[in-house]
Amino acid sequence: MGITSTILRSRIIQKPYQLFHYYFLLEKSPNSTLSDLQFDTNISISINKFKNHTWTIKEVCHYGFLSSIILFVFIIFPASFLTKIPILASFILCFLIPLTSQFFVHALPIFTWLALFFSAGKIPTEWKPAISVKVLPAMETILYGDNLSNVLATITTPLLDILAWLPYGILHFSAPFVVAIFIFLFAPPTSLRSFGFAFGYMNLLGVLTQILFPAAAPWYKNLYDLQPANYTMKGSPGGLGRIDELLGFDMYTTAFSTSPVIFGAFPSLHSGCAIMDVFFLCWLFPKYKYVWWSYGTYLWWSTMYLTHHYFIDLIGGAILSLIVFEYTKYNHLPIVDANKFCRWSYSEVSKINVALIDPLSSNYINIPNDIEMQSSSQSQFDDNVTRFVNYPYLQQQPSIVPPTLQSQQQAEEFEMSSMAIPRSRQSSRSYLGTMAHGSSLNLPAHNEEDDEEDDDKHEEIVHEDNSSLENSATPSVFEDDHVRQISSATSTTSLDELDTTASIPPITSTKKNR
Amino acid sequence: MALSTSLNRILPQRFMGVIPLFIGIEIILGIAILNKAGGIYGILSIFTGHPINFWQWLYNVLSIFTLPFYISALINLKTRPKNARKMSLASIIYTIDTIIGLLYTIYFIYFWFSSEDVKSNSLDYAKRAVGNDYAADQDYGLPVTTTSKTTTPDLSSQSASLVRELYVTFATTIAITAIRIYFNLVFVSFTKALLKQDLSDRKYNERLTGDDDDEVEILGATGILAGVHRFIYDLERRSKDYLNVLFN
Repeated sequence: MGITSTILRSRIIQKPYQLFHYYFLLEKSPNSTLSDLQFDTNISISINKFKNHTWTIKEVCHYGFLSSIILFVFIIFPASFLTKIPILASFILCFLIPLTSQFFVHALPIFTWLALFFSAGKIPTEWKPAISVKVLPAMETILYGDNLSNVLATITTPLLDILAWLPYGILHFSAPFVVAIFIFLFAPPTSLRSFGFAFGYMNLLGVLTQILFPAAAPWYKNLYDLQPANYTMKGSPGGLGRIDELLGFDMYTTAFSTSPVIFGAFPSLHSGCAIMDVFFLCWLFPKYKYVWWSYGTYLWWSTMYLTHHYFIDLIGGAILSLIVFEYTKYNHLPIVDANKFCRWSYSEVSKINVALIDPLSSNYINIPNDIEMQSSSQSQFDDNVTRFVNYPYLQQQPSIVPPTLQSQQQAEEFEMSSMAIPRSRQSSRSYLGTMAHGSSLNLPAHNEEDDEEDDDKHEEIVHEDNSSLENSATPSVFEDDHVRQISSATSTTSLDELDTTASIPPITSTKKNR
Repeated sequence: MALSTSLNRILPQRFMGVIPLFIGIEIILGIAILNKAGGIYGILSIFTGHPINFWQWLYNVLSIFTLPFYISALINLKTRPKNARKMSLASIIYTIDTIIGLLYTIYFIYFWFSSEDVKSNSLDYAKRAVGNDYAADQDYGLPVTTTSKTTTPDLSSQSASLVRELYVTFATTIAITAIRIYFNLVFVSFTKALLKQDLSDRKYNERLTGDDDDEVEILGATGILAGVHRFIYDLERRSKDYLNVLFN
């Protein structure tokens, strides 16, 4: 106990926590529970919710599809039922405990993909379709004029090998986790569910295609020159074999030789994952879209250079990602507000209203490019205003100095003073203040006291949305009540709304009921 | 105009029957952009020394040429009234691209079966088969001279036969061509609706005398880049005027 206490009080733990608290948690509106996580461990809560849940057709399709694949894996996996049943039971337990279910339910497509991928090698050979070795190079030449993998792998050097290895062998495996962390920290609450849905389904559909349409990769053409293949053949690390030679140990050769899906060239899930990462990063940080797309094109080059995929495989993976992302964007993803700093800055979640952004619709509202850019330009304007206007609120800010340079007590004082007004709202408030004091816009003067008085009146509830698969807007079948409890938008939100609506028409369908 | 009437009959009003056209255009342009990126990798053959003929080189150059127009159209898809001229030019380029793409598909089919496929079939199977634990299907390639010692009927059945490979290749080519033509129709349908709406907006809003906010900026700028912008802007305006005449 003493050791635990010492560790918790140590600077290594305290400093990151203080920084996290300062930069993220202080953003949270006092009355908002939207960004909160579940820490309950009572299984009966989940069981009751499950019993009382009203199932939609999309939910039935979603869970039915995933369950049938898990059942298939459960049956074909060559292990004793005495081993498999406890594993499945512990998996189900994680779905029942509210603390873990908030992650597990939304990661179900990812778990299903992983289960299918690692069991694919155990599918009886007689069930598998015949392997194509010529279709992909033929289609590549017919559609793109040449074998682009051959084009790029004509010259190989150790430097190019390393440059290709970094995105393909290192970044590819870590990027989804980094993107997930970014989404959790900086995107509106519920966004990570959408990422889990999109990422999982893209990979799952990709692996299903690979199993149903087994095809050989470019390394096969280089080794066997398009001669007939069979399932007893081993895989090849392709160009990554040169990395093993360069590093002096077996990092990829064994892994690729015994891969569960050796003839799974089409579609490329390396491409699919990278492009999905790019889509989500462009959605969350549109300002750096050139950086994200550079990563995508870099990974494409490395994949072809290492002879792991034809270009048509990369296109297949990317198109799969595009379609799944488009579905997710219009059905699940909340809207990013560029004026909000992080997850804890949000006190309500809005989704895209297709009717209002359809340029052919009579309800269309003209937004330059997209809402993120609009918000971004608004934010820039706000920044300019605050830079040149001596707004009293900014003068009252006691501490721009991080708590790392202050004592604990000072940090707590800062917390008290800044609790009422998160940083992400400061610029918009200054803008409002300026306008209210002296501009031609007659915005209602809205101050902190008014905010507090209005808190009760403006208590808002995000209602359950049964219109989709609901691993995004509605957390899951186990979380209805939690969603109903999600409160949002105290009066501080009203200020933001005023700020936003003063210049931007309401293009979103906010999920709230006043 | 006769073209307009006949067009109306075949133009889809929704993407895949249920999805709003603009989402369909997002997907179509997204797929087009991803596809055209292939030109960049293809043109790298200049540096890698991989041999390509003039027609392959031209195909890669054309792919790179179309890329900025598609990207610009996608970025401005939902920005009225700018999107009318952007989509008009992109629509014309997409249609020309479809026609050129079809011709190239025919040429590349000939190219594959006349050189690449023959090249792979004519290799000495026996030399490559020894030491590899796969089997050569006797039905697979025409010039099969021998089979591996490990050949068994069971293993050979695990590989797609030549007929099956040919069937899948042709079926996929036809399916992709059909999808490409459908995408083109969706593109034209969306542009037509957009232009109709643009005309209507101008009719009821006389303030919209110019094309959009970009006009003053583009026409007033100087320099080489500004010249390129002006040229493209002029192309977009002409495309829009041309399609307005064609559709009405």
